[in-house]
Amino acid sequence: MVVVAVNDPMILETEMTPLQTAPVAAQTFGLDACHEVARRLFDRVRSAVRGRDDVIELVLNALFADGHILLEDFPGSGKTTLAKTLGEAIVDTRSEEERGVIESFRRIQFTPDLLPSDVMGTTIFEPNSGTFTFRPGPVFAHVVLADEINRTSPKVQSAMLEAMAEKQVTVDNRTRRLDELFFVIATQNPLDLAGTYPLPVAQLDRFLFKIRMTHIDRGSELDVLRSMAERKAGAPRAMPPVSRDEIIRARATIEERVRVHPLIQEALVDIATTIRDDRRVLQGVSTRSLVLAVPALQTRAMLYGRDYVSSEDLAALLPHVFGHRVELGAGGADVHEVVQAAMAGPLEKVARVTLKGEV
Amino acid sequence: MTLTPVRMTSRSTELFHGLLLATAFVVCANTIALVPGLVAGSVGAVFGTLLASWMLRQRYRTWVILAVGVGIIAGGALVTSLFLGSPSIAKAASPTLALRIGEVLRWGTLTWGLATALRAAAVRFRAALAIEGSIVVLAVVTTIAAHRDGMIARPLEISDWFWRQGIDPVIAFLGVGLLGAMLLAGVLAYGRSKKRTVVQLALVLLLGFFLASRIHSADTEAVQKNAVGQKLEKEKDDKRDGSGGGSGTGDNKNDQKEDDLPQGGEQEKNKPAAIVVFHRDVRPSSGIFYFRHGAFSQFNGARLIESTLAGVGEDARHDFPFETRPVPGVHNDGDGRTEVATDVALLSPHSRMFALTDATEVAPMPNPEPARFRRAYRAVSQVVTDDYESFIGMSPGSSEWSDALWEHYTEAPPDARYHDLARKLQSDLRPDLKTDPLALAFVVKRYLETNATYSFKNKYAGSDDPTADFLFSEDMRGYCVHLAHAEAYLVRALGIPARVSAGYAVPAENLAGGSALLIKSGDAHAWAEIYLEGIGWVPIEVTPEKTDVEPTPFEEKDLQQLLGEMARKEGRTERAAYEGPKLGELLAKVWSAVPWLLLAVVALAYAIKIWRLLAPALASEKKKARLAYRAALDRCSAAGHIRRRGEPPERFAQRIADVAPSLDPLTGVHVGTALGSRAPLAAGKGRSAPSLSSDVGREVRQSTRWWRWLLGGLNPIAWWWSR
Repeated sequence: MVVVAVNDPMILETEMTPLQTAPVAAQTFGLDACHEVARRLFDRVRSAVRGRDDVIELVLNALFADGHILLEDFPGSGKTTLAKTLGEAIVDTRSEEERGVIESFRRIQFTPDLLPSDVMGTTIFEPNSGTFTFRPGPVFAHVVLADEINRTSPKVQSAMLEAMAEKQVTVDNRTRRLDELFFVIATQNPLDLAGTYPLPVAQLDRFLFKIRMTHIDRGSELDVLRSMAERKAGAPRAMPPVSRDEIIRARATIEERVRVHPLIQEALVDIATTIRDDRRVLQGVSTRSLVLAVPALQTRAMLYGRDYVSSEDLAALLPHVFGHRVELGAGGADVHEVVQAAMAGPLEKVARVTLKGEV
Repeated sequence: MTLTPVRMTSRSTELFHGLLLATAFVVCANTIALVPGLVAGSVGAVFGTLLASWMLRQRYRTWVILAVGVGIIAGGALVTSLFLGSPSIAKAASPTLALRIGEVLRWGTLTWGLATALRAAAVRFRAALAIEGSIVVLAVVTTIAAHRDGMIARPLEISDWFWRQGIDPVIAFLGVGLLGAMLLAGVLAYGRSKKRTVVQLALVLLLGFFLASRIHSADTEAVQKNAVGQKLEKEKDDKRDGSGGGSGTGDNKNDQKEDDLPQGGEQEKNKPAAIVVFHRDVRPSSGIFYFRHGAFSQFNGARLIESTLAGVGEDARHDFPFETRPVPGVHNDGDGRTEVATDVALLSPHSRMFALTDATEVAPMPNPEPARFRRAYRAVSQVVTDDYESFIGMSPGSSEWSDALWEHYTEAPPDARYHDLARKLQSDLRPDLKTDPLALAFVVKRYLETNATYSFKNKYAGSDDPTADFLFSEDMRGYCVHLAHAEAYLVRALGIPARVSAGYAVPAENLAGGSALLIKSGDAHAWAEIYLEGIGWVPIEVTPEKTDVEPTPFEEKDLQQLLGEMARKEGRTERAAYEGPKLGELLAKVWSAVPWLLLAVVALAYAIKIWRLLAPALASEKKKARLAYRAALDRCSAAGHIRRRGEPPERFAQRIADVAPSLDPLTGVHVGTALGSRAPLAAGKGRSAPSLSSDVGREVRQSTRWWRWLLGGLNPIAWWWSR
C-alpha cells in the first residue's frame, strides 16, 4: 500500500522557487534560506538513497518540524543508510566544548535484553582517578536510528520515548540535556511480530509521522545497483553538508514566518472532530497531535516554496500524522480510509470559503 | 491582507446604518402608517441592522441571512393577518387597540426583515449596496418631489432669495434634495474602497436623474390632464348655468354634487355606474326607467333649485339608508302605479343615493361583492305603469296643497315670452282639452320635440336665463336640461305644477327580458315632471326629433348580466369569505408562465456566466485573484473539468495540468491571497491573475475538442459546478 505523498515535492526541481520575503527577513535567516538548507540536505541524502524521495521528504519534514518518525519497513530497505547519511550530512560547526559529547549519528539495535542504561548512558567508576564519571549512551547524538523499537522491553521503550519527548535523560537522579537537534528515526517490522512488545497508542503519539513503505519500483531498484560504485566511492560525502545551527534556525524561521490562516486551523480542528465522531473510531486523535501537526504543516508549506499553509498540506500530511493515532473498533476498516473520509468536508469548506471570498 | 474572517464594522456604524434605514422608512411610510406603526418600523429597522451584522459576524451564509429576513417578513405578515382577522381579539381589546397592535406588528416585522436582508446583502455583495442606497435616496426624493413645479417652494425666505438671484427655486430645492441624497448614499458607502464609492455614487446619481426625469414627465402629464380637467369643469359650469340660468351664485352646493349630467367623452359615457336588480317585472308607461337623484322645484328668481321649504321634495332627496326607512311625500294609493322592489349596487362613487321613481321605502343591503361594488341598497318604488291616456281628465296638483305650495310649484320666470308661447300652444288644443294638465304638458312636449334640436353644442352659457335663450332662439339647440326646463317653465306658465328631476334614465328595453339593468354614467338625464291629483309626479319626456348626437347603442348586455348575477348574490359582511381564483385556474396560469420563467432563468444564467467572466477585469486589486480564479474554474468547468469534492485546489490544478497548465500558478496566487501569503502574486511568476485566467481559457480551448468546447460555451449553467 502506498501511503506516501502523492505529488513530487517542489524541492526536487532543480530550480528554486524564489520566496518573496520581507526585507528584514532577508538580512536574517529567511524562508528561502530554509528552503536552500532543506534542498542541500535533500540532495545529499538522495544521492545515497535512491527511489525513496517521498520518504526523504517526510523525514526532512519531521526533522524541520522538530518531530520524530516511525518507519514500518522491511529489513534491507535502506533505512539505516538514510538515517546515517542524514546524520553525516549534519555537521556540527560548534567548538569542541560547546558540542560536548554529542555525536552526529548513532544507531541502536533494540533487543529484548537491552537495558535503559544501554540507551541513555551510565555512570562508571574509574579506578585510576577513583571517581564516578558519566559515559553517555547513544541517544547523545543529532540523529538516532532506533532499529526495531518494538523488539525491546517496555522499560527501555519508555525510557527512549521519554528522551524523545523531553529531549533529556535522567541517569542516577541527574538530568542531562540532549542536543537541541535530537531526531529519532525508529523502525519496526510490520510482519515479524513474534516476541515483540508492540508500542501502545499512547506511545505512538510521540511520533510525528508513521510511514509505511513498500518496495521501491523497478527503475529505482536498477538505479540502486547502477549507482553502487559511485556511492561506494563516497559521492554523498562530496556534497555540501548542512550545519546543525542552520537547522535550528530554520525551525524558528518556519514557525515564525509560515502563516497558518484561521481557516486552516478551523479545518484541522474540524477534521479531528470528524474523526472522533466517526462510529468506527474507538479512540480519536489527541489535541497534542494537532499541536504537533501545525509545525509539520508549516514545514511542508516551506518545502513547497510557500509562506502559508494550504489545504493541500493538510491533505498530504494528515494521513501520516493521524494514521497511527487513531484506534479503530473491530470491523476491519482502514485507518487511512477513515482519515481521508474525514478530511473531505473540512477541505471542501476551505476551498468554498476561499472561492467565495468570505475570509 | 486581513486575517479577520468578516468585514467588521464598528457598532456605532451599524447603529448609524440602522437609524438611516429607520429614517428612510419613516419618510416613505408616514402617509400610510399610523404613529405606532412608524415607531415600530423604526425600531424594526435598527433591530434588523443589528441582527444582520450579528449574523454576518457569525459567518452565516448569505442566503441563510436573506432567508431569515424574508422569513421574518412573511411570518410578520401572517401573524398580523391572523391578529387583525380574528374578531375575538378586537372584541377582547378595543378595536382601536387591536388596530394599533396590528400596525406595530406589520411595520415592525416588515422593516426588521427588510433591514436584515438589505444590510446582509449590502455587506456581502457590493452591488446590493445600490439597493440600500436607492431606498434612502428614494425617501429623500419623495420628500422633495412635492417641490416640483413650484407647488410648495417653501420656506419663502429661501425661495424668494433664489427668485431674486434669477434662479428657479424648484431647481434649487431639487438640487438640495439630490445633494442630501448623495451625501446619505456616500455615508452608506463610506469605508469601502474609494473607486467603488465613486461608481456607486455615479449609480445613485443616474438613478436620481431617472427619477427626476420621471417626475418631470409625470408632472407634464398631470398639467396636461389638469388643463383638460379644467376645460371639463368649465363645460360643467356652462351646463349648470343652462340648467338654472344666471351665473352660479353658489347658494346651493347640493346643486353641484347632483350634477351627474353627461360631460365626458365616449369613454366617460360607457362607464358603468350601477347595476339594478328588479324583483319583479314592470313596464313603465313612459318606456323609460327613471332613477331620481334630486328634484328642482323652487324658482329663486333666476333658476330652479332644490326646494328649501320644509317637507317639499323629500320624495326626491335621499341620503344612503342605514336602516329601513319610509320615504314621505309619495303618492302610493296604488292607482296607475305598480309597486316594485329593486336592489341597487353602485359601481362608481355617488354622493347620495338614487332610486327608481317613485321610491316609498329604502333599506340598506350588505354588499354582495365588496371587491366589485362600492355599496348596495334596496328601494321599493311605485312605478307609473298605466297608460298616459288614462290620466287625461285628472286635475293638476293636489287639493291638500296650501297656496304657498301651489305658488312654489307654478312659479315661472317673469319673462312674458313664456306666457305668450304657452297661451299660443294652449289655443291650438281642442276646446275640451284646453284645461287638461296632461294634454297641455303633451302639447308643449310636442312643440319642443318638433322644433328643438338635441345638441351639446350650445352657447347659452353665462346668460341670465339660458332656458329663454334656448327656447326663443332660431334653431333651438339644447340638451335634456334645457328641454326639461323649457317644458317645466311653459307648463308652469299655464298654472300646472311642475318640476325638473335629475338622475338616470334608462330605456326599458335595455332589460332585454332579464331582471338586471345596467346604469352607465352616460345615462345621466334631466326630465320634467307634472303633478296629477291621485297619481303624483308623472314624468314628461321631451325627445327632439332632430339631433346632432350619435346615439350610443346598448352593447353591454353581457356585462349587465354578469354584474346582475354578482349583485344577486347573498351579501357578505366579512371580506375573509372572499374566494380567490380557483386552484385549477391558478395552475393553468402558472403553467402558461412556465416557458417565460424558463426563458428568464436561462437569460439570468447567461448574465451570471458573462458577469463571472468579466468580473476579474472590473474587480479591485484585492479581489482580482479570487475572481480570476473563479473565471478560470468556470472555463474548466465548461469543458467538463471539475474539482472533486474534498480535493485541494492545488491537486486539482495538477490533475488537469495537461489541459490547462496555467491553472496551477493561478491557484497559487488565489490560495496565497486568501490564506495570508505575504507575496501571493509571486506564484504567478510574473503573470497577473486575469491574464493567467485568460491563458487557462486559451489552453482549455486548444486541448478540448471543438464541439465539446462549443457545448461548454453554450451551456448557461456550467458555472454552477465550478467550485
